[in-house]
Amino acid sequence: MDKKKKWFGIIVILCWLIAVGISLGIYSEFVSKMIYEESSHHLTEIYAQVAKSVYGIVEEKWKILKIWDTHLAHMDDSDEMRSFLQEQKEEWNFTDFYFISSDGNYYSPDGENGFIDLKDQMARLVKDRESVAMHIAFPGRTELQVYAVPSKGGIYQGFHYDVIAISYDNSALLHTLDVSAFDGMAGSYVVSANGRVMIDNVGDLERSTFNLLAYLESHAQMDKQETAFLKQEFLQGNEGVVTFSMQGEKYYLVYQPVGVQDQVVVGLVPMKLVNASMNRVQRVTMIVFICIVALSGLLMLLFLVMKNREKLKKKDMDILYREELFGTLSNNVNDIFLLLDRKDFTLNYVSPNICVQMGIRRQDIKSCVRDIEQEFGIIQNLKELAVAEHRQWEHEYTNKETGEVRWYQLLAYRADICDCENCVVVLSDRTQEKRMNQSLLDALELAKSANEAKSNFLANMSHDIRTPMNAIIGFTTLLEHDAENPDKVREYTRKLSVSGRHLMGLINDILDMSKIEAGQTTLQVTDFCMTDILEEMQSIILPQTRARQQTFEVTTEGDIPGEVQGDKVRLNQILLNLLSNAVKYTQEGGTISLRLEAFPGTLRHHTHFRFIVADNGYGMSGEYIQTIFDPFSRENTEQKREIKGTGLGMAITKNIVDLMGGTIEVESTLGEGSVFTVNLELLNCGVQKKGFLREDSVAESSESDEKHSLSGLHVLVAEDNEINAQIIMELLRMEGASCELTVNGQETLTRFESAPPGTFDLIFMDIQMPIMNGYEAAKRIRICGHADCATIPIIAMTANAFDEDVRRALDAGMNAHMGKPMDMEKLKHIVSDLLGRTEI
Amino acid sequence: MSKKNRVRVITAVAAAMAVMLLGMLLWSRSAESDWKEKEDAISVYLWSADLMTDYAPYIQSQLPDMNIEFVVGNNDLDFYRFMMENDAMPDLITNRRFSLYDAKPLNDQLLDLTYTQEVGTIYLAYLENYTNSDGTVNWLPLCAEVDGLIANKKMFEQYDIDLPTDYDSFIAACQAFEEKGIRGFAADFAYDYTCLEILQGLSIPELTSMDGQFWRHQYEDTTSAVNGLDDKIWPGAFQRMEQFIRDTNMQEDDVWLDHGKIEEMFQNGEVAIIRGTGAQVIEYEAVDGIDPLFLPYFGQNGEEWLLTYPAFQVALDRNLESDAWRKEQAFRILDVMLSEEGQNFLAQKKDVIPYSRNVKLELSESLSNLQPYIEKNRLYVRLASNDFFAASKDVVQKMIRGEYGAEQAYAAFDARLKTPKDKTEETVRTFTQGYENIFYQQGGNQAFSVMAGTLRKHYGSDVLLAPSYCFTGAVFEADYTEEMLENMIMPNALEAWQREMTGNELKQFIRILVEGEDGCFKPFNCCSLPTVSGITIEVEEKDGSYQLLGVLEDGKEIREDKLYGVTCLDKACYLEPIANILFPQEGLAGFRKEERLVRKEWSSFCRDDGELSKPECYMILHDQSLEKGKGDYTE
Repeated sequence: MDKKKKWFGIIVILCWLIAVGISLGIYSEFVSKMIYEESSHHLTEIYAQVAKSVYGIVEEKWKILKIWDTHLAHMDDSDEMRSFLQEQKEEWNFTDFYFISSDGNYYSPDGENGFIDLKDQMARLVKDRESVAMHIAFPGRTELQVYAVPSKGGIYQGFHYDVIAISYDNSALLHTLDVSAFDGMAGSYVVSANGRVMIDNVGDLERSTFNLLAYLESHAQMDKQETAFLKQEFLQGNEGVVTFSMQGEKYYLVYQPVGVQDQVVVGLVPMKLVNASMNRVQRVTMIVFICIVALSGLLMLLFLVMKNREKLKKKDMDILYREELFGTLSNNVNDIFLLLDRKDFTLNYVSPNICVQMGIRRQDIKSCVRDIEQEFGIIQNLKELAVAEHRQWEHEYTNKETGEVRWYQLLAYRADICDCENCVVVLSDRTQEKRMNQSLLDALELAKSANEAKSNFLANMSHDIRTPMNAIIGFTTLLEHDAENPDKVREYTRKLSVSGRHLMGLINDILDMSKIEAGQTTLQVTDFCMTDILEEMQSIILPQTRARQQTFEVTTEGDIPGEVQGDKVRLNQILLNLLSNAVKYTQEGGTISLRLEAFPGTLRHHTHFRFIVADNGYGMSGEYIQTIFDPFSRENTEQKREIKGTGLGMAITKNIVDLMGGTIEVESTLGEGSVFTVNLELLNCGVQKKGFLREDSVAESSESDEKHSLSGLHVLVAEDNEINAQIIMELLRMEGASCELTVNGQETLTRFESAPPGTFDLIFMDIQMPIMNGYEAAKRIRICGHADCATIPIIAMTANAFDEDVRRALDAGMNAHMGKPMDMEKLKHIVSDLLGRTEI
Repeated sequence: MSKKNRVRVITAVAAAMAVMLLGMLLWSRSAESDWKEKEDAISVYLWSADLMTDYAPYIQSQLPDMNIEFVVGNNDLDFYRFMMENDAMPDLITNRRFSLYDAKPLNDQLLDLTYTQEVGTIYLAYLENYTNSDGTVNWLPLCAEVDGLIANKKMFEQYDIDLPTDYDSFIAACQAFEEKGIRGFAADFAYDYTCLEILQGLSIPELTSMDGQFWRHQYEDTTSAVNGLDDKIWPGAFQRMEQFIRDTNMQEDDVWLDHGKIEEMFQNGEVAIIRGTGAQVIEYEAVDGIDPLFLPYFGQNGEEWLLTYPAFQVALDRNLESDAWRKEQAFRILDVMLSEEGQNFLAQKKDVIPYSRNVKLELSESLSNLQPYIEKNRLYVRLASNDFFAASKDVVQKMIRGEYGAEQAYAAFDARLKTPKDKTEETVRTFTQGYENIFYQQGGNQAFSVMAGTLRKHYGSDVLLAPSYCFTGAVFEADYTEEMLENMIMPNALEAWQREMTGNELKQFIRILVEGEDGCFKPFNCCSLPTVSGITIEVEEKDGSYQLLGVLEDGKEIREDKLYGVTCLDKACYLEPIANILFPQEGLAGFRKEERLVRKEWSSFCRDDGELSKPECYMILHDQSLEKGKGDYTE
């Protein structure tokens, strides 16, 4: 594949080079053609001018001869004629003037006579009356251009003439052939149609010639066809431009008919002169183009090289990566790889993680591997391994370094690598799995026991719940029956209340436990006074202990700080649970004590509190103590069986203590009593802030100094449940408040908006309502723009008393939260706080 | 680059270089062998044997790398026509008597020189006479000899007669001399050229007039129907001739006057003015009693003219067109001929007038008076067709003899020109076997050997010695007319001289022929070595000269004391120096001259179906420069 790619690359590069070459060639050809056409045109124009000059000279001579002829015809005196001609000679610089007879004899003004052989031109002059121009050469004389015109005829010194003519040396006419445009480098000729040179301005003897066509054929690289073409062109009097090479240099040959006889003006101009500027442009363009191509080629090459390097680097990196990866993997995975030769089972490779996995030192690898092979039975298994077969087995291994026991699964198979028969053995560490399996089995057992405990709890709870429910239903039936008997009604009502509270306690405990297990319990950290806690405990427990003729004392030790930060409610709950249990599980006349010890805490600004709840009650068995903090755990003794409880109190207490970061310990002796010690560290702080009121932040003591009343309040009650609505309304009426009922959030909003300001004193808002829930209704009320919208207290009523619910109520703009079923005293307290009123 | 790729690249480069080297080697070998194969002789036919003595060696010396075969041809263009018909046209041919009219049959076989530098050098005024009607040029003239009148100034001074300046004064001078008992004017009217030149010389003004030029153009135009005289110019020409004959008091016997006689008369003061050339003026200057003055032909209208004719014309074979190498060599020879130096050499202080623009005109003091005529372009190129020569001789002689008056002469001349010639001349001999004109190192020239052997047997000699230029070329397997048979032997005046010689004398004779001697012809290349028959001569070439190594008879060195009957073929003027060297007592007188000219003897022999001899191995040449194509032809 790589080879194919390589050849493909080479072909691509070759194609690119060919394409570039062809492009260059086409461009060069195009430019050359343009240059040639341009130059040809330029040269044609120049030499047209030259030909025109030459013809112009001829024409001019003819013209003046005709003029002179007219003058001479009017002269009778030879002297006058001679004088006239002498003047003309001085003015026109001709070499000689000729009176010519039809025989070809001439007579000059000075009396010289001779023969001027005009050949067939004489017939043109004399018979056809046409002017002629000829190139004349005689031995011993310079070559002349003779211009002759037919004369009217006359006599000069007795010589009858029919033609007059003047002659010029060739040298006098050379200037017409000079083309200054080419720095004198152009060779110009006037030739006859057969190439015979009549005039040339070539100073260089080497280029001087008698016959230009012969010269070109012998000196220039012109073949017969080309010279034949030129001959034809000259004969036909055509104009044109051709190119040829001579002595390594290229020339333009431009030819133009003069228009006199068969004379042609021919120019030989070096191409480099004509094309100088165009060539420069072409050269520069080519250079630029080549540079661009070269640069792009270079860039491409660089790019390819870099890409290749990158590729190689990547490959190296890949290899390195794979090596590293393999090394890392092999070091970090639990699988150990062994590569052995099939023939003699020589170890060819072992992954380095064997050191870590098996506690082998690097220098001992070889020897240890042999031992491993032996221990794991590898060789034996490999010997039995057939082609295309793999074998799997497990083995337990003890790490020599750490003594750890690990379980390995071995997989052996044959592999031909680079035509060598090898065997690969993979040792996979399965210890984790093994342990997990074990854990799962343990968890299963635990779940089974928990399930069993739950089942027991349910079984117990069923009884515990059914009992007060039974009382409630029973007493309700009796109420119905004895409705006319106020005493019975009161008795029944009281008992209904007790059963209800008991049932409430059961449900609360169950809910608390489920919250704890769900991890939804959070601490409400506030500032509180520890002495208040003690006082509250005293006020709550004392009546219970008095009822059972028990003694209860509260003592402190140490420097108790004024205020600390913590969850007062939860702390109350802990102490209440412990003290309630102490009361419950101490016989009548027993002793219960609460001791608070305060030390400086291990953390800065913290105080270490130790709460010790002791009693001399029934005590617990050592066996039970092990499970006392387990949910639904109750000692199943005759004495305690009768005592009501959910079996969740201690579990809840333990969870709360754990949540607070404290510890709880128990010491107990069966029949002698128990001691519960709770250790907590709380932060010393300032005054406790007042915040969102919730029912559980309200003081438990029903014997508060202040009485709170709802009398005279007009309350808007939002409650979709008819029964709950009835209860609330009735309770409110009992307290002297009036109320209106709405059944959903939208109705509540509408009613509030439509009510004049001050109509309602507060709103009780259920949360779970159709159309619009309580949160939404509260939000809308707060922004509706009613005069009371910002100030009217809104109290949430919900069965959900989780902290999340409380937070949502706060976020919705509510002022307080009441859980269901509603505690009127708490409610009055909250209302009192919200409205700032006491008993009216 | 990987090692593998490096090896590949190096291998490829090495292979390419090897191929290149091989190619170069093969090319060089091929080029070298190509050069050797083309080392053939370029044949140059000279119109006169006189050119072999100096001119041919001069040309060879200018081209030492070239093998040139100089052959003495004939002055007659029909000679070349015969060679053309037998596909044996020489590479270069020269001719003295020329006219476009006579040259017409050869035109198709001759190279067109129109577009050559060589043509470009010729003055247009003279080139006109060599330009065919279609504008092509096949022949080029070399420098011109001047023909006019030569007056002995001493006689004019002696007799106090004014030198003529025009026709009237010329006639007056002639008459004045006549009164003194001295011929005023005489000419060698025995020769056709004298008749032609005087006839034309007296009418140059008319012949150069527009009408005259028109007629000449028509006459020379090969496509024109005009082949006779016109009625505008020529009647006057004969009238002037008649007038001249009368005015110069010519006698009937004047038709027999030859050059020797005229010379004698001029030297003896028996004639004051003769017809002559510029060269003769220079010759006469060395003669006591003659103070020559060259005079133009005086036109009766007062014009004065010089009649000119080129030393010779030269043309090239058209077949050269197909062989670039041979063409190049031939042009090299032509350029030597046309060069200033070559023409000056040819002129040999004869004061010739160049026809070429690249040759300077240098007149000696003797002919300095011709300058004005030259400058005035009073130069007339004679019309020199064979017909004109023949007609001129016939008619002018008859006019001199009084047989023709002007009108009759004109009519006869015209009639003669117009008479169609019977081109189908009678075949008198058919050779059934041809012999090449190629020189072999071992053997010599086959054709020459055949003719030499035949003549030897015919003359009944043991040995025949002949200079190389005696024989004009191959023996063609063709039909020969008598004229063509005669043309096989040159020069016209070649004679056969016989004598008995000892072996030693013979050897010495041959040594002179081979090695040259003062005053004798010296061979300058292998083609110029003598032809012998009856013996074999062994020659060695060394540094451009030849050395006789031996003379063999039947493979053995000849006996020096043995007497051999020897026939020598040569002109007397060339044989005499050798005779004087070898036989100082007797000189040429010791030789017996055959009555008939060799060419006549030869043609007569052949006509009588004489059997041609087989070629002999008459020459063994040791010449390192000749390697290929010059092997052994002996059977």
